[in-house]
Amino acid sequence: MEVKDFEETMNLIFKDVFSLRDFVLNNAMTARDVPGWDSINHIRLVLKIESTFKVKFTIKEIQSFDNVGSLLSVTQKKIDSRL
Amino acid sequence: MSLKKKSIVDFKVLSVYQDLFKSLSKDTSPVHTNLGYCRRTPFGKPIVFGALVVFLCHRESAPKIYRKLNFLKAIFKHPIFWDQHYQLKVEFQGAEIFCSVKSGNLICVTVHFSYQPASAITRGASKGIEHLAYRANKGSLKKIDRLLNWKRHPQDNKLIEVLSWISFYTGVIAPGRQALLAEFEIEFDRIRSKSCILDKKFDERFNLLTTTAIVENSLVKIGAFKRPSPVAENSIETLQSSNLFHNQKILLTGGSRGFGLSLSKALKQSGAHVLAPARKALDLEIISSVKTFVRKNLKFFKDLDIIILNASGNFEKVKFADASIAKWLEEINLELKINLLLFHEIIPLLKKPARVIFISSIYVKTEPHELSSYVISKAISELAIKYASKENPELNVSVYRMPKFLSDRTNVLFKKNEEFSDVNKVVERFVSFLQKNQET
Repeated sequence: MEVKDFEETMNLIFKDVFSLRDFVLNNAMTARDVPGWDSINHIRLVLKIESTFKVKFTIKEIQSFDNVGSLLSVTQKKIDSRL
Repeated sequence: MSLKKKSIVDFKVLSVYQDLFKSLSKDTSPVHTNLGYCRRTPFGKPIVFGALVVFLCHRESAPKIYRKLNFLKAIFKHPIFWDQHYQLKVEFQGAEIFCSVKSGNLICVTVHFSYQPASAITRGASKGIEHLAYRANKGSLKKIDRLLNWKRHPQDNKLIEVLSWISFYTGVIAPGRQALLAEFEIEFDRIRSKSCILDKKFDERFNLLTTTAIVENSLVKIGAFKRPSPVAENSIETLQSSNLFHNQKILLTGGSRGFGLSLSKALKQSGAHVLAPARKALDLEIISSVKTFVRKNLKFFKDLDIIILNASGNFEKVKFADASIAKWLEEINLELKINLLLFHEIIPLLKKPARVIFISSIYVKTEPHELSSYVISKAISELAIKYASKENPELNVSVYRMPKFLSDRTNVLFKKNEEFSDVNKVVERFVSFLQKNQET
C-alpha cells in the first residue's frame, strides 16, 4: 500500500471513529488533541484499524501508542511484514 | 419528521423505569437493580440499563410523522445512574437523529437513529450457531407506556423487542453472565430468518465480547465488556460496627502516604491503636534510628497484635543519567531496609504471637518506571521477611497482594490516568481480608 493511500485510509478511520468532519491526521497528535479519544474510542479505533488493514496488535503494542505517529508506524510495519 | 434542528432536555431515569424494564427484558443482571451488589463494584451504585437509555432517547426524539427506523447505533462511554440529572441533546439532520446523554461536558451515551425507506430484505434462512427463543414481557411494556404517557407506534414493537433481547443477552446469557454494553448497532429488516446468534468472539486484550445475531429479522452487532467481579461484602462500615480491632495494637510501616495513610485512618476509626513511624523520622543512620524508635515505644511493641509492613521505595522521578546516586543510596538504605530492621528488632520483644502482614507489590496508577521501583523494593522486603518468618514459626505471617486499581470499564487501558481516589476501595478490600483472618 502506498504511503499516501495508507494515510488517507487512516484519516478516514479517525473521522469515522471520532465522528469528525474536518480532520487531518498529524504524527505528533496525542489522545488529548483528538476530541473524544477516550478508552472506549481507543478500543474502537484499534479494532477498526485491525479490521481495515487485516492486522492484529498485541496488548504491549496497544499500550505503546503514545501518539498518532507511533500508531501509524506500528500499523505500517505490520502491513509491510505481511507482504 | 420534526422541523426542530436541535433540542436539549433534562434526562433522568427513575428507579421505577428500571424495575419495569427489568420485567420487560427479563434482564436480571444485578448491576442494574441490586444496591448491595453494586456497592461492591467499581461503579458503587446501580447503572441504568443501556437498552433503556436508547429506548428513552427514541421516545424523546422519534419523528412525529413516523418513518421507518432503518438503522440504530448506540455507544456507551460512561455509566448512567438512577435518579441523577443528565442532559439529553437531540440533533436532527435530515433523516438522521443524533442523541447524546451528557453529564456536564462528559458524554455518557450516544445514539444514532437513521430513518429511511425500508431496505431490501435479504431472503433465505441464515445458519446461526444458536437459535433464540425469546419474547419480551409485553405486560410490562403497557405499564411503561402508561408511565411515560407515550402512544407507541406499532412499528416500535420491533425496536422494543430487539432492545429487550440485547439487554437480556448481555446481562443474563452472555458467557459468565458478566457483560456490560459497550456498543451495539441494529440494521432493521435486513435478513428474513429465524432469530439466532451468528457469531461470538471474546477479545481478551480488551475484555470485549462481540456478538452478531439475527433478532426479529434484524442484524444485531453487540460489543460488551466483561463485568468486573464484585469485591467481598465486608467494608470499613461493617468493620467499624464490629469492634474487631478495638484496642488492638497495630504497627504500620509506610503509613504516611498513599494506601498506608488511608489504611491507618481506617484502622484508627475502627478502634485500633496504630503506630505508623514517619519516614523522615528514621534518618540515614537507620539501624540506630530504628533501635531508638523501638526503645521509645517499648510498651507498645510488647503488646503488639498486628504488624503491617507496607513501606517501600520512593525513587527520584528524573532521568537515570540526571539522578543523584547519593539520593538513590539514601533511598535504598532507608526504605528498603526499614521493614526488615523493624521486624528484626520487634520479634524478640513480643509477648504473644502477633500477626504479620506484608503488603506486597501494588498496582498503581503512576508512571511505569515508578511502578517498577515500587515492585523491586517490595520484592526485596518480601524475600527478607520470608527468611525471618521461617526462624519464627510462632508468628502468623501472611503476604497480601493488592488488587489492581480499576481505571475504567475495560480494566485494560488508561490505568495511568486514574486518580488515587480509589485507594479507599483497596483499603476496604484489605480491611475485609484482615477481618476475615481475625475471625478464623
